[in-house]
Amino acid sequence: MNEEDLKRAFQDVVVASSPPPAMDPGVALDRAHKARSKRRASVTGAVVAVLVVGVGLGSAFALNPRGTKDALIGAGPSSSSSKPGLPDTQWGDEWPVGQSDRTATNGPQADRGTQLLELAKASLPAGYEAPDLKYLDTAMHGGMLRAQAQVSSNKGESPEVWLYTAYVPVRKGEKVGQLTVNVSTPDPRLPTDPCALAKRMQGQDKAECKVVEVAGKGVGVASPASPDLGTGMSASYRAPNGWTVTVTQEDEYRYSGYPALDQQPFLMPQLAALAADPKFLLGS
Amino acid sequence: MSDRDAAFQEYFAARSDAMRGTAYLLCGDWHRAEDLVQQAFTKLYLAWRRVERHEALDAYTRQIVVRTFLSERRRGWFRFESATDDLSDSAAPPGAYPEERMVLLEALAKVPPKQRACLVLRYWEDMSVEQTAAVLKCSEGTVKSQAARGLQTLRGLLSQQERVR
Repeated sequence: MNEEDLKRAFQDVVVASSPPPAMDPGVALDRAHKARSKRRASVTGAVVAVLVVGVGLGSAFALNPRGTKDALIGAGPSSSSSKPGLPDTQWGDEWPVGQSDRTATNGPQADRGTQLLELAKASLPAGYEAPDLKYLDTAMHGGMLRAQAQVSSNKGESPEVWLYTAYVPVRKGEKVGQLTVNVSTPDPRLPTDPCALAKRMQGQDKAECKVVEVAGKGVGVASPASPDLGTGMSASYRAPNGWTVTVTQEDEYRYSGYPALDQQPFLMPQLAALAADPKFLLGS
Repeated sequence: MSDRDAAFQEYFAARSDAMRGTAYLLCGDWHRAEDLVQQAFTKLYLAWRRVERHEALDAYTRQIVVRTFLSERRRGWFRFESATDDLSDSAAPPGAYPEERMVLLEALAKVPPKQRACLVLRYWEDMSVEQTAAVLKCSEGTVKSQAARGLQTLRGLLSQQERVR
């Protein structure tokens, strides 16, 4: 491997590892605001603490000039706060027990990922199949049909958020496209507006989007503003219980080495209906 | 929204993806990469008024990403990484997809962090030796030697993995 090989390999790794949707600038700004407030509070707190200690010591000395310890005993420890709403996940030092990173490879959360994959496979229209293909591109490794379950919140954060993703190669004849289903447990970081959600999940703030009504439910359907930015179409639905579902179809399975489908498997209303299908709420 | 907030949001929208790619190559995990990027942009926001006039926002932000990675690594944040030089040849656990355990990423995770940072800055970010030295706060000679060693380590690990597979 020379330097040029390494450059190419870096590019392949970043692209092949399915980068998550773009980060939300609004969330980043919100966190930056909190950090600023915290810093200001720390500075203020430090000043106040110095004053309080000074006043306290002065008072204690005034009330107890001989310096016996009893006068300095204050209130007992404050009661610990509880954190309602946390799921029953057992956490280790950093990750849920049994995990070495965010991804669950076994247990109930991994099972939900597998369940989602089966549901996604069974959702294809007639004439399409979901085979367990391997990449033709030798730079890629592993299967194209796969599921993932990962915790996206950190230890101690409430609510605890889990993200399940199913990647399905969609084949018709020799041509292969991709269906991706992304399901999240209630995540306050995600926007509530269907189009904002669809754009966020697609990672394109300037995508074109319209809200499609499916049996009274609003589903945001987003497409890239120009073909240069891709051809994928994403439909996002937020259920009343806060779970979100995003279904994305692409006429090609990127980096697979297979030719792209002649057309996407679903029409826009069908894709919206699929996103709003309660089966993807995984029994929540 | 204040001008500062608007400018920050605009810069974040434009550059966070690129920074996240760099962070991903450093730490090997998208969520950790996002944590690193968020931390870096938060620090940037706190220093915004001081930095925004310097017309070097990218360099400054990238520097925070890399230094945060190295400092977190020293504090043991990236504990998932193997502490041994021996590569495991055991079967992947059920449900673990090989794509997520890509050969290069596995090997890269075993390259010492500073060498890894050198490789990522030099060959992913296309930074010069001088720029890399500035980000890592070391001499240009150190960058050259760390990059050469990193590349050598990576080659060794990759050929070792080829044999295992």
